[in-house]
Amino acid sequence: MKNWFTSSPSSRPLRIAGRVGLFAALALAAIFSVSCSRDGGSQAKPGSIAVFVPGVVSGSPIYEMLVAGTQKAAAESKGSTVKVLEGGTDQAQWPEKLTSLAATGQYRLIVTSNPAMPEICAGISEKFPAQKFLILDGKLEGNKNIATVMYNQREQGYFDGYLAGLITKKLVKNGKPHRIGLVAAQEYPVMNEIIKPGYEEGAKAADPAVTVDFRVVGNWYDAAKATELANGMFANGVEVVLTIAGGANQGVVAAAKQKDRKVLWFDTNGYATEPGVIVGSAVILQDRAAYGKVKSWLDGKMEFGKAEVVGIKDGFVDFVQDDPLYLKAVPEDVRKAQGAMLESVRSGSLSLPVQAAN
Amino acid sequence: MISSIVDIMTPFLLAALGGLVTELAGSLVIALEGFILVGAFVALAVAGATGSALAGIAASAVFVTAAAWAFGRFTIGTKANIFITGLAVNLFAAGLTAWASAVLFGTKGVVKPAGLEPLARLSIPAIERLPVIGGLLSGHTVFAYLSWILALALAVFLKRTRTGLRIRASGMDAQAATVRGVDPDRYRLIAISLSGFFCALAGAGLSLGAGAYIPNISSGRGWIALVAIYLGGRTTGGVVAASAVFAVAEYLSNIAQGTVAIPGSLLLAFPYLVTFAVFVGYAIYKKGRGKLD
Amino acid sequence: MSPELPAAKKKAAAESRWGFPAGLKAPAIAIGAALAAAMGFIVISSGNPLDAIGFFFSGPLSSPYFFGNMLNETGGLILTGLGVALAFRSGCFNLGGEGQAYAGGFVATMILLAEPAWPGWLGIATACLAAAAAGALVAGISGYLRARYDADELISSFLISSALLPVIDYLVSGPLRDPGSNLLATKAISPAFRLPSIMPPSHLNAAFILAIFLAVGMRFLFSRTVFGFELRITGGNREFARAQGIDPKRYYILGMAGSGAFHALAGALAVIGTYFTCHKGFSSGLGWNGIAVALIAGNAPLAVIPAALVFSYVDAGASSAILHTDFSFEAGSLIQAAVFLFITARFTRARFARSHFAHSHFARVRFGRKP
Repeated sequence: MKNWFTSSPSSRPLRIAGRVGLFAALALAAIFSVSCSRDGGSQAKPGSIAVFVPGVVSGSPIYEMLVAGTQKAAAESKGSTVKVLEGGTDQAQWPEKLTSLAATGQYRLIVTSNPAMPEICAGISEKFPAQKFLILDGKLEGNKNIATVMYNQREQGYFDGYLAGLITKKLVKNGKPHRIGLVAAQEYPVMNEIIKPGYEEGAKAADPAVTVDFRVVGNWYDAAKATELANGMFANGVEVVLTIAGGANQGVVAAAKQKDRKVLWFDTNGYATEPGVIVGSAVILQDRAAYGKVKSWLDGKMEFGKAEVVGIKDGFVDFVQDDPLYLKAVPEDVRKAQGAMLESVRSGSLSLPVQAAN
Repeated sequence: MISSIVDIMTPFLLAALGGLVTELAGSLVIALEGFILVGAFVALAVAGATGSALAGIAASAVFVTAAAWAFGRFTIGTKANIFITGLAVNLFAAGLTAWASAVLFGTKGVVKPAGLEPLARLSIPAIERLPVIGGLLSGHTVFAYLSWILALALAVFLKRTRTGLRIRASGMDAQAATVRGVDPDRYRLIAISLSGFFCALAGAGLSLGAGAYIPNISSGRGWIALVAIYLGGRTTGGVVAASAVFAVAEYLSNIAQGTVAIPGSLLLAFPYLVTFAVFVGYAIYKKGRGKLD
Repeated sequence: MSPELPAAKKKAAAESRWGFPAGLKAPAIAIGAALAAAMGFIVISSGNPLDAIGFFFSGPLSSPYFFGNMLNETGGLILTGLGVALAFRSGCFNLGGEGQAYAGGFVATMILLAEPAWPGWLGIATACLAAAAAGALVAGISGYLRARYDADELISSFLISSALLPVIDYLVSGPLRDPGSNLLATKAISPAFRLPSIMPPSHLNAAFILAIFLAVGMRFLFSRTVFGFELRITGGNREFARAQGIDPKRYYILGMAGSGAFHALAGALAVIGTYFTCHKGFSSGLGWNGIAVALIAGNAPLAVIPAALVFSYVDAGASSAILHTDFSFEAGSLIQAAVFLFITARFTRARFARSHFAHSHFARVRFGRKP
């Protein structure tokens, strides 16, 4: 391996090469900047929307829904356009990329989604006071350029937990410990302060003896590691695992399938991912939220400066009960109990308010 | 326990064996990570289309070996810096699999062909229940067995066959090899192609094991495999031992996550610390034995 | 520096020395090929290739904001590139740059958060020195293990770095996270500790000038000091160094420690110049890209500057094409890949001829010595 560096081309030609490269680039750039300088003068057209994705769209259902909902609303409005900009997963880069987007001045509205985005957008808003932001999955009140919609993820975690508790109570017998699993890609404020406690709270409501086995993959894609983590849980007597680990979820599913255990899904309807193995899906209807909000903006009805929190009652968080695969995979008594609990939240007799995680 | 360790170890070992050949040939390839990723994708795509895991494995091996050959041909032919072209391969692998995935499956995210089961584990009834040996020999996917057979085959190949000896000669003293009529570039190209073959298997094991392709599924295994080559003292047996060390450390960290009161995120550092400790301990031991530089 | 030769002899002499014609031709072809490949990718992957190519080249220069940010990225890469080059020149390979840069930024942040009332210059100087010391310590361990136990510094630096990353990740997003924020980051440092901005509103700041100075300084160190001379001798040929009465071990430790200090400084300056807080994973890529930059520059300190510039230009150009056109995110990394593939390639006449020792790249790698 040592031979990489002694091999390097001599410094002198490279130094010259650097100069040549720079000159070539500068010359080309000069040519192109003349031919491409038309973006400077153009003003943002009405209905021009940009979606800033703090991550990458593909493989991330939350962002896929964000884009789909925004595009759907734009398609229904004449002349409305949607530009999608992916910011990548390095959080430190988001402010710079979002600033570039705002600096183009070509978009009347920037739509984005992430709990960290409100403060980033607020900072950018100071420099670009004409720019409006719609932020989903985040909360900020009182900035006249920013509207936010936060989901009640305590409810979301609660209902996956409640089902996990019900199943564990039913399956684990003979005084063995009642354990449920939670595999997370990473630890982050919303995970540690809202989702995990909500999951535990829900599980304990169904089965007070339950404890949560919480493990972290370290990234969103290492399926083999997720398999090992899930197998470790199964060895400890865990029957049901909630997995919130992006692509690495597939590793949990593969492990559960081979060991005949159950998996709970988060954010999207996952029953079809592995019928019979996925027994619950607590979803966020981000596409619906994005569609509704963008549409109200296009109609001139959006109130900026407002921070909404929406949950099961409002129809933006749900537990999917009507999927035939759910009906098939989960025994009737469990489904009934789960349905009754959901009903009590819908009717307002059980309230699970959420605070923004900080 | 042993069974889990073997599972964790398999992809590291396969990739490290591939890297070892190139290191011995004097042209270490750092593109293992990219090869693994492409191997994982091709294996899953073909297995999904044909319904046959075997076809997927074969296609992956052929494709990535060919890709590695092309990479080697280009790098050697243009006398480019193999570290930089290796970085290029890693970047290409991520971009091209995303592109191919979008074209073939309409998504750049998770690809999970309907009806494709996670790869079956072979259990050997007679041995299964034995302590240690049971976990070692039973309950794995075909890749675990393949990795051992290939490790053994590679050791014999490098020590006993003409091509193997010439590969090592190319790395040891290219000048002397040339004088003796051995063209080092030729044997380096063979070595680089072989690394593609091994990494294809490592990748196929990852994606077929999960029954799905996930972007970035290689998750840095190609880099750890590079460590294993040196930790293993550039010998086949050493590489096996080094992969085992890392697998044990990784296993302990996975187990500790559910049992020890240390935050899981912090435990992610544990495998590297253990490997580091073993590495330093071994170096001190070797020094103590008087094996001086 | 090689002496100037008459033009007629130049080619032949250089041919025997480097294996490819000296001067502009070969590297120009390489860079041309790299850019052509990049453009090829744009043409294939974009629905509107002319626009995409236009924005790729003009974007980084289209406004002070983009230009400044590109130079700011260049500054960081110069520092890590210098760090890698310093290790290479001493005969070591520092593969732990990622962790060292992260640790540097982390240490600087911690100091500045602990002493918010210090005067700006004192805080900045202390933070930079402490970060550099931390980086030197982390990488110096690897140098020491190499010198004392002959333990490969490449492996140990990689392992230490890989262990550091999750630990700092945990601290920054766990116990030390700013509880008033949803970012995975520590509290922001006091505005008094921010480096002076050069081209607002871009992120370009005094760190860039410092990076240039350090590049010149390292050039001076290598060419004009006994230390630099001995360090290069050690890196070039260990036995020869010994024969000259130079203790190679000293230079392994100092080379690695210095390399770590440069990486950590890059991290610290990114915090006090650009981010003003320690984001989780803010330094990701600094170390790896530093290796690429150093290798493209042939480990010559001054050549690191254009190499880093080419690197960040490609990066900024891709970002610009993504921002303004339908150009996709991963296509940006394909452009970088295309550049990497060709940037060190040499398209000589003998390109696909079966080569023998004299022409063998790898042989030269192993036995070749730097001038």
